[in-house]
Formats: sequence, structure tokens, C-alpha cells
Amino acid sequence: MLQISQLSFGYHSQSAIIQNINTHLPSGCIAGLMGANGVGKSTLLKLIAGLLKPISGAIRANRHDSAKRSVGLLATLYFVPEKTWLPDFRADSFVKLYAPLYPRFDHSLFAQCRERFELPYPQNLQDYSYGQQKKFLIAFGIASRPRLFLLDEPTNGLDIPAKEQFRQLLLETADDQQSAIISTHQAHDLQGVIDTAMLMDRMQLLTVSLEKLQRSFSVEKFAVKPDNALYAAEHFNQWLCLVPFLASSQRELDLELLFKTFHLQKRDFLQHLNSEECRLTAQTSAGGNDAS
Amino acid sequence: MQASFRVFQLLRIRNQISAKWLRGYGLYFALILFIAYHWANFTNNIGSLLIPILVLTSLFCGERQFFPQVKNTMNSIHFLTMPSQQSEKWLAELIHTFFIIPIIAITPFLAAVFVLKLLHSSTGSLYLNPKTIFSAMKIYWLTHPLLFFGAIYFRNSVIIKTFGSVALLAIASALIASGLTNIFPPIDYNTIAVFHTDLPIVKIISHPVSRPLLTLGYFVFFWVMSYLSLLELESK
Repeated sequence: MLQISQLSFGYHSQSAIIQNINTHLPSGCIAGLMGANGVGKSTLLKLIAGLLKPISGAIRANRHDSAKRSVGLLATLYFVPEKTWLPDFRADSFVKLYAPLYPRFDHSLFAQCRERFELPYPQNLQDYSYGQQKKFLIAFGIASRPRLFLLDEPTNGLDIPAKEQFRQLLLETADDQQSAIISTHQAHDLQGVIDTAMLMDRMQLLTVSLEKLQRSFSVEKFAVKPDNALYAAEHFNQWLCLVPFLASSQRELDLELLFKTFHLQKRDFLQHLNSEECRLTAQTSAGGNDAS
Repeated sequence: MQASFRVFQLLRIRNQISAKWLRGYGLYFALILFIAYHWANFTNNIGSLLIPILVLTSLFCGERQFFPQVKNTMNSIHFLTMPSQQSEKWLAELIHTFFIIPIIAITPFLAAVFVLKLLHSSTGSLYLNPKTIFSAMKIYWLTHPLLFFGAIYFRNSVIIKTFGSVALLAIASALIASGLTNIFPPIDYNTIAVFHTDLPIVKIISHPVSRPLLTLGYFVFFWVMSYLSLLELESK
């Protein structure tokens, strides 16, 4: 589905913002791309969509070289950028003109998405508010049933009910042939939606299934900060900690805590993820495919 | 070409003929009519003013219409991720700017002449007739390959940057040439001219077929350059 090999990119030849990263994302995944400001999340999505050309390395998306921007790639990929732009004509004209370019476009699904997002239709696209334009693009993207769906900060500008609808629609419409990468700063928006985490900094893009993370880490509250805590945040006179896997823990893995640990304690985080202890836990747990 | 080309081309035309655009086009026609009417009354020579206006309008309309999708990042994301071949996008732009824009630019002028003739049968269009309009439009068509390439290369302020670059190149060439004449001894041009008429290169350049071939080469060169620039275009 997506294979990134030895990828480097920089807007200026002297300063590469992405250096030599590798990763693989199989079909049927919904991945959350998380990283600090300026690490190149949006840049990575643009590179995958073929909007930027890498300095070195290659990206193969849906069996096509991204840099070539072939029809085969573009017809099976949909990119919703953070800031939207829509042409100055009616929404139904937009669908009539653009939908035939996407071979898997589903008109009934588009109507369903539109209704769920409560979008006035048909209406001139320029008369939509920023949030409505975003909803329109997301609805169009979902209906085009791309093999690879790229969303850059999709929940920015969406109202609270729309955020919930967005999560629901992604879960309901995803199939084994499709993958999605959602870049966001608001990890909570992805809770319960993603099954894969893509943790990014300039030197590394770690793609790992939530299943594996759940078998490797636990989130727990402690009165006293434990020694083995990989990351701890004070929370109402208690310590909310990310610790090595605890069989007794029932708490859902907190994506924000997970990202903070990767960002601030990367060495410990990776060391534990690749440790023997984790491997043993994985073996005793029920089987599952890791995307790491 | 694939079916997407048809869709893409229709899309461009549909995009052109929006209600807002028609309103603007109507106002443009009214303005030409107004100027032409008063100018004709004043000088009885509507062509002298209208032809420069026609050329300038076509150039500026063309500049705005040459690859408008690449002028800002958001727009270019939409354009570049549209599932059609890069060659289709390029060809659609070429057809649009080389054929459709001139038609759009000429029509209100012809309509203005027609209306003026109806109003003032005595107002002869000495200069403004299809033949002179066509020869005025030649300036647009001749600058087309250069601006078509400049639109992708510079993206914004295309006319200023493209013609500015050409001017700079001309100045640099003149300076180099004058520098060379300082280095090398002065040339007796009369002798050289007589002497060089027999050179094969002079024969080739002065051959009647050379001029159209050089023009064709100029068109092909900048159009190919614009296509290659489109392939390399990024949305930063």
C-alpha cells in the first residue's frame, strides 16, 4: 500500500527537514500521524501525494511512484489539505465534473456523508464556511473510496458533532483495500479511530500497530511516581504514567501520553518497544499483525 | 487522450462561464463600447485606440489565465492531485489560452464595432476590422509561448517577470557584445558583410524557409519547456 524508502526532503538544499526515513503501511489500516510542530507531517503527506519531490529516496503508494504523479496514483489517492480551496461553482457541478475522474466514486455514499455532515446542497462552494468546505472535501474524499486517503488536520474547523460524524464515517466506510493517514495535533480526535500510530520526528517515522503498543505499554494512575515510568504527568494529585505493560491494567492507551513519551523520552520508548520483555508479552498475547 | 481530458476541458470552460464572469464580461464589453463611441466621435478613428487596448487586454487576461491553478498553494494542490495525465492538463491549458482566450478577447471588440455601425453608419472602421484585429492578436500569439512558460516558472507577476528577464538577458548580451568589441580590434563591417554573404550560415539564415522554421522552433522550445516545468512543479 505505502512503502517509504530512505526518504529525505528539504525545502532548501542545506536544511533537510526529513532525513532518511523508512516505513511501510499495509492495506486496511487507519493510521494517526503524530509529530511535533515542524517535523514535517504535512510535508510527508504532500510527498506521498506527489506534490513535492524528494531529495533522495522513494515513495511507492498504491504500487506507483509518487513523484511521477501518474493517473494510476492520483485516481486511487485523495488528499484533504489543512487549508482548503474550492473552485467558484456549485457543489453539484463539482461532483458532476470531478467524480468521473475517480473510478470507485460512490454517489450514494456521497449523499449519505453530506447528510451526516448536514451540508446544504446544492450550493455554491464559495458560499460554504471554512468548516463546511472541509466537510465537503472530506465527504467527497470518502465517497471517492481511495485506496490511500490522506488527511491533514481534518478536524480543524469542524464543529463537535461533525468531528464525531467524521470518526464514525471513517470507521464505517473503511475496508481492507483502503488505508488512511490522518495527521493531527489533537491526538484525542483520533482515539478509537486509528489502529496504527505513525510517530514522527526528523530522523524517524515509526509505524506501529496500536495492538503492539497495547501489548508493550500501559497507562495507569499512581499515587507515587513509579521508577519504571517511561513518562509521567501530574494529574489531580496523582501521576498519570506510561509504564511497561501491566496485565492488570484495564485503561485504554492514551495517544497523547504515548506521543509525549515518544517525543520527550524517545530512547527509552524505543528501547522498551524493542526489548525482550515486549517480545515475550507479544508471544503470550493473542496473535496480530504489526505494521512496524 | 483519455476521457478525463474531456471532463477536464469541460471543467475549464464551465469554470469560465460562471455568472460572475459573465457579469464582468458584460461590463468589459460596455466599457469598450463607451470608449469606442466617444473616441470615434472625437477622432473618427476608433482603431487607433482600440487595437492597443485589445493587445493589452489579451496580454493581461492571458497572464491571469495562464495556469491560474499554480498561483497559490491551495489551488495548486487541487490542480496537481486531479487524476488526469500531466500532458492532458498542459494541453487543456494550451488550448484554453491559445484559442479560447483570444476568442473571448476579440468578441466584445467585434460586437462593439457592430453596435457602433448600427448607431453611426458613417463611422467607418478604417482600422478596426477582422484583418487588423487578427494582426493585433498576432502580438498575443507571438508572446504566448514565452508567457506560457513564464506562468509556470514564475507563477505570479508573470508579465513583469518574464519580459523583465528577457530585457535583462538582452542587456547582458549587449554588454557582452560591447565588451567583446573592446577586446577585439574594430571590424570593418563593409568588408565583412561582403565577405560573409558566401558563408553557409548566412545562406541558411537568409533562406526564405528559415524564418518560419525559427518561429516554429521558438514556439516548440518554450512550449516544451513549459511542459517540462509542469512535470517538475511542486506545491510548496
